Amino acid sequence: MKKFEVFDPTTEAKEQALAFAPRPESLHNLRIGLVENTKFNSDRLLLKIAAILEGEYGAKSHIIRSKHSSSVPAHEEIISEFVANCDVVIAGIGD
Amino acid sequence: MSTKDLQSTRYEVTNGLEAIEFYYSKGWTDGLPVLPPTESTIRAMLDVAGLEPGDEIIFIEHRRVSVTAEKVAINSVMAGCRPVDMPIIVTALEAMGDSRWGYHGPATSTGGSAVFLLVNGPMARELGINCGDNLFGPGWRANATIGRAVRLVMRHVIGTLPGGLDRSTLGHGGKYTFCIAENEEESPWPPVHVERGFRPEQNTVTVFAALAPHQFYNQLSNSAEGVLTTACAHMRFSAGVGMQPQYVLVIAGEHMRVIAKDGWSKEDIKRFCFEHTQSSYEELKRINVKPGKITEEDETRMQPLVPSPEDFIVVAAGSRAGAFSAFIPGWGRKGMSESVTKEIRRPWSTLQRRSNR
Repeated sequence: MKKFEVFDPTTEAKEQALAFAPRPESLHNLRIGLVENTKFNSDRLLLKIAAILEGEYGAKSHIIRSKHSSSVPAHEEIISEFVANCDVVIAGIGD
Repeated sequence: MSTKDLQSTRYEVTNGLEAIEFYYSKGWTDGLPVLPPTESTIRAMLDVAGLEPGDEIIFIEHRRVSVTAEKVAINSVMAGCRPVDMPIIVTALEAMGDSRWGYHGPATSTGGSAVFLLVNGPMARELGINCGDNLFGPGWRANATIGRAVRLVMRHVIGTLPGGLDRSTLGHGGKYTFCIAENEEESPWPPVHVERGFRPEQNTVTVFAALAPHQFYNQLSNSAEGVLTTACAHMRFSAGVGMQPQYVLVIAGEHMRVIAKDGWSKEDIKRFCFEHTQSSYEELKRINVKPGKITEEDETRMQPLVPSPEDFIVVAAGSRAGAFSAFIPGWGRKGMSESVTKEIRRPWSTLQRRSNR
């Protein structure tokens, strides 16, 4: 029987190298950045996490900044501020 | 004619049924059978739209994904589209790539929105896009397949997979396809694209991140105010309450005639609905839509359902018979996603006749 060709409908990923930021061995004396996504209670949860990291893991300080909405990435001002003033950043609060 | 080689991986099959089962085995389907895309059917799609396989239709920033014409064409064939449908699909995707629509939120959210497509202009009639009977139901190839093609592109090309990057808690039937036209011939009002600054003879597609449609009936009133009072009662506490998204209000034949008889324009409809769908903060807090304790001033402080009267998108469509109309709540709030209207370009108009044969 004669064969025929059909095609892949998906994005066929090309190989690419991804570089993760190096992970700190300890949080001692490090400055925490908190990305708040505007969802109800996300600020409270992040601040509790920061308190634990400072109280139990020796983190030095924290700042919290809010995105424009939960469905967009952190805007440039937040990223610049965190790059300048933070050593580690916590994001990713869902529903 | 497209001349560049297709870049997608090819697979050999012996017949159509085997191909359908092959696509099932790969997970390349929305659950319904797909049409096997072959080189000639893919090329026909590209040629009508005047595109080369590698042309980038949109780039989805959040996913770092480039959506190429070739992949759109493949998925459009799979959805059952005709080549003449391709420019609508391409334009809908362009609109979804607009930052005002904001792909990531509506595509990913647990809120579970679909992509509602409204086609305006003469092309809707030329291509047989239903604007009448059984408006949101089955029976029309264009409605069934154009929306499906967009959905398959989201799924296969952009990775919007249920349980993966589509986290819908419930979703709804419109996520298979959700495409209609406006009944421009019988409507007493300017169509949506003319309201938005296009000429009547231009063709447009509007994309709207949409929850499920809600039907309401009013068989008692013979006035615009009566019909719209019912509409507002249903809308006031509907899926978007408290969030202030946009809403689509679909007014079908009988209601359309009743409202028009009273001389109401679309602006009148929007203004009335804006005024009559507001809720007090006291009520919104009491039913747990808004957080916080109820204060004295909450009883008189009102929140509109949508940010402004213009955020009711009024569409004349649906059957001539029956005292029913519908509203479609938008997803999220307007600042997170809003409807976007784009013109469907027709570099393919000379080719259209050929592919229509």
